[in-house]
Amino acid sequence: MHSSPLAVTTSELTKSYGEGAGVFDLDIDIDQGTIVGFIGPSGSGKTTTVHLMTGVLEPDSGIVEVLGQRPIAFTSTTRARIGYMPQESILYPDLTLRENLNFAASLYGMPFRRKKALGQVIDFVQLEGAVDRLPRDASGGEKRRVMLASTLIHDPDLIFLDEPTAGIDPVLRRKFWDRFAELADAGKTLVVTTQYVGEAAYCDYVAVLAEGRILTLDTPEGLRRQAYGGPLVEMTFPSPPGSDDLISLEESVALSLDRVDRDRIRLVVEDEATAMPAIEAWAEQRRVEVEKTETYLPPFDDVFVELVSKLQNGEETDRVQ
Amino acid sequence: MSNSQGLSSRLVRVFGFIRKELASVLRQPRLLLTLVVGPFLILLIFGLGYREDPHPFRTLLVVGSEDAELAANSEDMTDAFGSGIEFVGTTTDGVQARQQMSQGDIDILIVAPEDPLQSLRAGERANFQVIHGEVDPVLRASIGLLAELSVDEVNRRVLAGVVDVAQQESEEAESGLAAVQEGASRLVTSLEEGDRAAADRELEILREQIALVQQGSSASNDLFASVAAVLGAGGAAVLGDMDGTLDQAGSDDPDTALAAAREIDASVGELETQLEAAQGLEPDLLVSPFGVDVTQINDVSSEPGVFYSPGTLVVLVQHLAVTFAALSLVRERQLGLTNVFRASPLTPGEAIAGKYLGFGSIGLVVATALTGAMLGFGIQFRGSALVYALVVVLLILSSLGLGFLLSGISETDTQAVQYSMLALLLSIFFTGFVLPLEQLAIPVQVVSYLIPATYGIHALHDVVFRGAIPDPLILGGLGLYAVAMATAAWFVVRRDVTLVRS
Repeated sequence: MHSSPLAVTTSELTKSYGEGAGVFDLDIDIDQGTIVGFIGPSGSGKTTTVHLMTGVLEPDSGIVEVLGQRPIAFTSTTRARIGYMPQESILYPDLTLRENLNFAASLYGMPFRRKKALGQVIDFVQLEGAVDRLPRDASGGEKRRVMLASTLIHDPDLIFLDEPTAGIDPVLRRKFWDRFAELADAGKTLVVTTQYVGEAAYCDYVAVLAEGRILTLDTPEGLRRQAYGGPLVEMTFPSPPGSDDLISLEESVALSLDRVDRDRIRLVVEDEATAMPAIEAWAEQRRVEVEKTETYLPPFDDVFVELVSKLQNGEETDRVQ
Repeated sequence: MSNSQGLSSRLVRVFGFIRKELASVLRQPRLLLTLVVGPFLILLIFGLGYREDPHPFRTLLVVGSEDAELAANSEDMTDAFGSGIEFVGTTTDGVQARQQMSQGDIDILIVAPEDPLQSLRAGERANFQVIHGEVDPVLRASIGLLAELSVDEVNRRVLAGVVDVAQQESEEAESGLAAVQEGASRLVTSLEEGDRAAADRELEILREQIALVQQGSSASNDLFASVAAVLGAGGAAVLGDMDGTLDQAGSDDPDTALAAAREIDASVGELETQLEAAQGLEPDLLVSPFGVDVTQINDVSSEPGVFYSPGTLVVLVQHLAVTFAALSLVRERQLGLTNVFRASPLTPGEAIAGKYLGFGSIGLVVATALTGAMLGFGIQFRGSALVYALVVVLLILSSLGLGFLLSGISETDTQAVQYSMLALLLSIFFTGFVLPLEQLAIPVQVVSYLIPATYGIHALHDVVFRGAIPDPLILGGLGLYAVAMATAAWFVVRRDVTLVRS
């Protein structure tokens, strides 16, 4: 994960609230221009991690450097390079969405002539037509979009998004992630926390948090591998295969085999590229008719459950840096 | 970032807060109405409905059956008690009178002394008994005062009766005094002619005539002597003091005798003049020779509405500023905006400057409107408009600072409103708004000077009514208060805007 300069680096970063709450011994390096997701259940330490990185909280111990500075000593210039979207939609109830956005722009010292910039960010989050409403007249999704626009209005280099998609519909969630991808393509670094495990697929790297500790940090594909031990291949048969055939298949091609239903199985293989010809050879040799063979991408919810279960049971995982 | 960019960004942030606070307040017209128009209307209705003259106490006089004269005079006497007492009648039935009182038909019972002459003869005062059932301490004090005034009035009337009798006696004495005057003249003539025997005879006759007149005019004579003594007008001739001079007039030394005789002659003439004067005076004037003229060195109206107007402005502006400031920070804290501030380049100074300027502008607009209303009510400004404006600005800054400080100890907006209401209550009772500050014990006055309105009311009374520059201690105190509160507010805002330390 060090191909480009680091946007964030932490070492043994710890912040404890007592009784086991907080974050502990956090070690992570985040490259510029990447999307890093922090995924974990409620109370796992995602927000505390973001607060430590944005300079909202002071750590108890350890080191955190953001854009080359420790948050405790952030200059105004450094702070102006950072965007922070809090977990809740925090808006002044007596100001319209546009006025809230305008206030956010002024917090970052954007010049008084910023109508164009406001227009662009409103377009970016697709909020046209709703900006002159008061928050009480806006939907949850519109409020989240204003929050995102408020985070992006000053064109920050490093963007912290604390559960940006919480409580919004799947269509809008997808749109948000499309926008995040555009920002990453433009060279921005995004640190995104989420409880939606499926959103891990949109990240370049994913840190799985539980009880204040990073259980693992990997690419989405790497996480799948960690969860199941290798890539998955799904085979469908026109008629149920025999037990001997399956034993033979497992021994010759797969690391493990799981029967999903009578005529469908999933294999964990070492490598998809070599597994596919081997499966064809096995079918020919055993004269087994196969309807379909394809790579199977399990939902991240399943991956997460599998992974957390494994990690918490103490099974070793590879940590990719 | 260059210095000019840095300054420009700072100004943008300050202006952002000003605009945000103004928009927030203007979007809440009900809040403005509640905070300004509500208390203003309450005070206006109170001012219009307040009666300077208290509601008169319904009073019944209880006299003994033989006090017919007192009963007859009582109604006339109660006229002198003023509007504080509504005399409802006289009764000889004390039991029924108490029953009427317990039923709430009357407020005060005055029970006349049973036998005043006997008490006086025994060397004791004859006391009227004033009975009431009032519980309000202010009204109780009023009853006590009315009772004192009433008894003074009764005593004055009794004394006036004595003086009236003395005046009648002095008329009788006046004819005797003419004879004394003639005798004194004859004594002088005899001594001037050296006729010692004739002089001795005249002296003897004179002694007898003086004794006769003395008996008839002693009361009025003494009264005049007392008045003269109080006034410091020495030399008033009094017959009682003439014994020594008469003895000298009988001296063997002709010069001494003649000088004494001439002195007697002059003194008697003077006494005659005094008697004439005394006879021409009203008995009431003689028993109450001193009156009082109160002169106000300015022409400020004595209308309560006028006097309370600057205080009302001060209390309302303070209440508005304290409430807005206290609510603003608490709401931001409750919304969770403090974390957004902490992650942004915002500094405590920028946030507080924006809030001071935003809410300060609203405070100034409200103060200007209330000043316009004061002028509309016909209140004349005697002092400098500039000093007035300075006091109002310092008051607003102090009050905003107090509000920010209160927000620092409030966890919810409900608490912030409660603290603001406490500040309002303190302002009404401890600042000189309703009660003079001097009526508070010194330790309690310390509390008074913890409230900006105390300085504001004092200073505006000086500027508006007296046309004077406020006491430097008051004006300086208000300035120091504003600075101290701004410093405290900076610490409160810093807590909300900067990194949370372990």
